[in-house]
Amino acid sequence: MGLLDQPVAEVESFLKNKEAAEIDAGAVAWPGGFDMVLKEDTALELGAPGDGSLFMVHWTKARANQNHAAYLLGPELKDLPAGQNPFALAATVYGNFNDDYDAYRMLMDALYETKLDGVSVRLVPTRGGIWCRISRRALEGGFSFDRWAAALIENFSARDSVIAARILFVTSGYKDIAGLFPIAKQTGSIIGAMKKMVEDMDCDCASCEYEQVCKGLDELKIMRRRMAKERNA
Amino acid sequence: MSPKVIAICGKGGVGKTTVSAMTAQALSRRKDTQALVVDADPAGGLALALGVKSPKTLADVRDEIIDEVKTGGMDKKDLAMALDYRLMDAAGERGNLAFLSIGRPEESGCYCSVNSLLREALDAMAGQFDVTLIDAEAGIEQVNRNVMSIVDEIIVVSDVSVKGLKVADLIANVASRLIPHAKVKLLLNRVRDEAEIKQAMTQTKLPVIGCLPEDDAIRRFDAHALSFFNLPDCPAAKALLEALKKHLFQ
Repeated sequence: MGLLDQPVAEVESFLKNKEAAEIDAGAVAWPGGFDMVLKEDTALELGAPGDGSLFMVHWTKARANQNHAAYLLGPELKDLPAGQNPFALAATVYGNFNDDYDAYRMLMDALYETKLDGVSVRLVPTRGGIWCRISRRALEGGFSFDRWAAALIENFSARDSVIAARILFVTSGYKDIAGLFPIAKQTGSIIGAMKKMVEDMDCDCASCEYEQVCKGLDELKIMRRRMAKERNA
Repeated sequence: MSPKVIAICGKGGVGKTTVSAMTAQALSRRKDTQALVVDADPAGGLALALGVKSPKTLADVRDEIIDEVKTGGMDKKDLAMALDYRLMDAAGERGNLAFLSIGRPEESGCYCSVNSLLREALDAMAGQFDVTLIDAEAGIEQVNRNVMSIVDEIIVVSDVSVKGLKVADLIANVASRLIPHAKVKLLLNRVRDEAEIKQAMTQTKLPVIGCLPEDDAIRRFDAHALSFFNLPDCPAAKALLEALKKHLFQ
């Protein structure tokens, strides 16, 4: 089992239950560029503070013949009501990853580096918050979820060991986004435990806030044993 | 236009914040220019002069970032992203301008941590705007503490007093050591006549980019706390615009 296989399975189940529409993952990637969008130029605001907002990135081992894919649950950008809308973005990246922490850092970097022309994307990694402003110019110029997905897929795929990526956008409303919160919470706990392990090997497990997370996940126990062994070698 | 960062500095009371407010007004009329206006003076005079308010100050952002860091596991890039998000949340906006205020930290005394965050904020935000305008704290503290390290142009405002001009020279000297790439220029304010200009020029070697006359419209706007966005094309505003066009907005 992989470190995030459980949340990955839950996102897959969410996709299936909600019947999210598949969109074109092979679209032309939206170009990178200047990304500061002020209110007066904003056509749509997604996941603004106070609205429903969520992003999460998972990684797992690639299956045979794994392909890129993109899904949308809810209206396309051009069909959303003007102004603020709740929003979620969930990315699952498939590949052959030797080290989970390195995979996490690499994929976060790819996400951070995806700058889209005429679109501001701001992230709070510790809370999984995403806040986007889409300019009138970008919307009128054809910016859409498939071109956004393609830009993300392009950046993820540029990294060694990445084979495919699956992107899910949710614009259908707060209720659906809230359905992803338990998965995001679980993911956040696993990644938090992993990061603490990497950054503080001297941590006393008995008093650590992630004790229960590690107890319930063999991959974290194996990771800690391996790290301890490497340190003592 | 490549991103340009301009700091307005000077001795306290010489009209630095008024010049910043008038410059912000000039920027607001350049609709093709996105500008970030930073009130870096903890006294917060620029917000009052413009009649704008940031939803949060940099002091608030600092507290939020400290809370984020406490959750653990953030590396430098995570922090930069979180800061970018918090700054967008903290900025007030009016048309093509965004505003940030430094604010005052909860604890009394030292402003080091907020000044340090101001430097980080300028690094994070300035490249995303065509122009960043900073109304600096009076005196040399922020220049001395290298808060202004990414500034391209320092406009030192002074009246024609020897004291004002001496502080202007001091700021220029400190800047030449700590921010050698920044061009330092002098803007004379509240000038009454040619004789005063001539007298002032004998006190400084700084290049003068303009002379703003004493102006009743400015006095009236100051006295009644009217928004400088509504300042009419008075003689001082015209003189400033001419200087800005010639020396900053080429």
